[in-house]
Amino acid sequence: MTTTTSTERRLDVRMSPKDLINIGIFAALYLVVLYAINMIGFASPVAVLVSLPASIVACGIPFMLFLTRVHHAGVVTIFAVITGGLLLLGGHPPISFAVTIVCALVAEAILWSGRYRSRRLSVLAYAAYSAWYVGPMLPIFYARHDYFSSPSMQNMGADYTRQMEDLLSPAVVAAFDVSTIFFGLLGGLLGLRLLRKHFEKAGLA
Amino acid sequence: MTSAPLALAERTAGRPAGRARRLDPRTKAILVLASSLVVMAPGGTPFIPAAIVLGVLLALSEGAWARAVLLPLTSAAVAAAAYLLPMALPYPVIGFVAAFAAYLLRFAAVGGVALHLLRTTTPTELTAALRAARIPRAITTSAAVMLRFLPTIATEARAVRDAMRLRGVGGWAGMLRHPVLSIERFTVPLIASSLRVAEDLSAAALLRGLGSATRPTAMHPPRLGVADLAAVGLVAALVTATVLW
Repeated sequence: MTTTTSTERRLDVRMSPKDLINIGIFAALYLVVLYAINMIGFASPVAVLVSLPASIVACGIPFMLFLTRVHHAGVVTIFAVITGGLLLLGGHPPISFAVTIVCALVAEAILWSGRYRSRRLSVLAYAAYSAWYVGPMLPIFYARHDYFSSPSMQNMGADYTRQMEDLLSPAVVAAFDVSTIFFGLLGGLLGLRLLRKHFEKAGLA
Repeated sequence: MTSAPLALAERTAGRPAGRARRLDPRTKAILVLASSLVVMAPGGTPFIPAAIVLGVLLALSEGAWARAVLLPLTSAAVAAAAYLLPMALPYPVIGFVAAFAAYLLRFAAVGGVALHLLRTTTPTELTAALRAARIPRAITTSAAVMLRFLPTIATEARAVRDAMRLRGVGGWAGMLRHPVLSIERFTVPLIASSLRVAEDLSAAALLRGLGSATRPTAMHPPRLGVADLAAVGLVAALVTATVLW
């Protein structure tokens, strides 16, 4: 255990069972909010355009509350391993799990620079963590040649294939990722506002 | 403390006679990961039929007749949307939907195998399997808590949604008109009530030694058996058939 000036500013990786329980509870909350909002999106493909950003914003609320409750190095990483791991066992592509872990490490670095206490940096950390949303979409882009080389696509002509290649370009992936980070920022800010408005009053934060 | 969505799985798990023929949770998890790795990889399209066959056989083995029928039907419908729809309507917008459907086909193929794991494994079994797979304690403990809480919080979420409907807020129209307000009205009560339940349950879990350094023993310790050997043989046969074909 590393000992620094005071117990308040202690940074160690070994977590108490209480912290581990907190991680588990908030991971479950995060997944339920994620799925509850995305369930609306199953109505039609257009609804996904509303429900996906809405779920990024909504998940900011449990995430921000989570960061006020646990102040240990490694919390976001464990959070990412268990939520990402469950999604992986639910059929998400393995690359998505890897992306989630990378996003969590970036978020962890941001939190660490604020010694896990800064609220402003928590908002940034959630925005960075939200970038994982691109993960489940990645196979559409990296495996697009599989699709275009299929016999039925060969019949479509070079012109059509070129148009589709443009539509599924890396620039579009980057734009999607930037938009998830933007909505993550909004979610973090909303979480911060609700923290002050409700949870601190109720003694939960 | 019974959890409603997993009650069915718990009932089947408790039957000692059926245990011998059931797969080890570790084998089920490896089947999901392996099919996901192969099918989701670039050039994984040829393996989609093999994954669907595996999904159907697993569904038959657990007696989920509806899934055994629906899985190939859904996959066929999605495949038609991916490959036949652009021929009928050659527009880029339809093309994007079709490309998305081509991805959904991969997802459905892996999902069939994943559903077997999720439907036949109780949280306790999965936790025991994670421990048996020598995953670090910090992860198994928090994963155990997460799996324990998921059904509880899902019940809370349903209660909050019903309460919202009773007051005439929420739903599709509300979500479009006041997106932030409806998010707030859904998540805040959900979090507040879930944390109240969590206080009690985590106190109980701590008393029962959750997160202690000693390794807990399982009532039904995961063991690899004949069924797992058969599953490995089946997967090997499916892969050979795909490669040779």
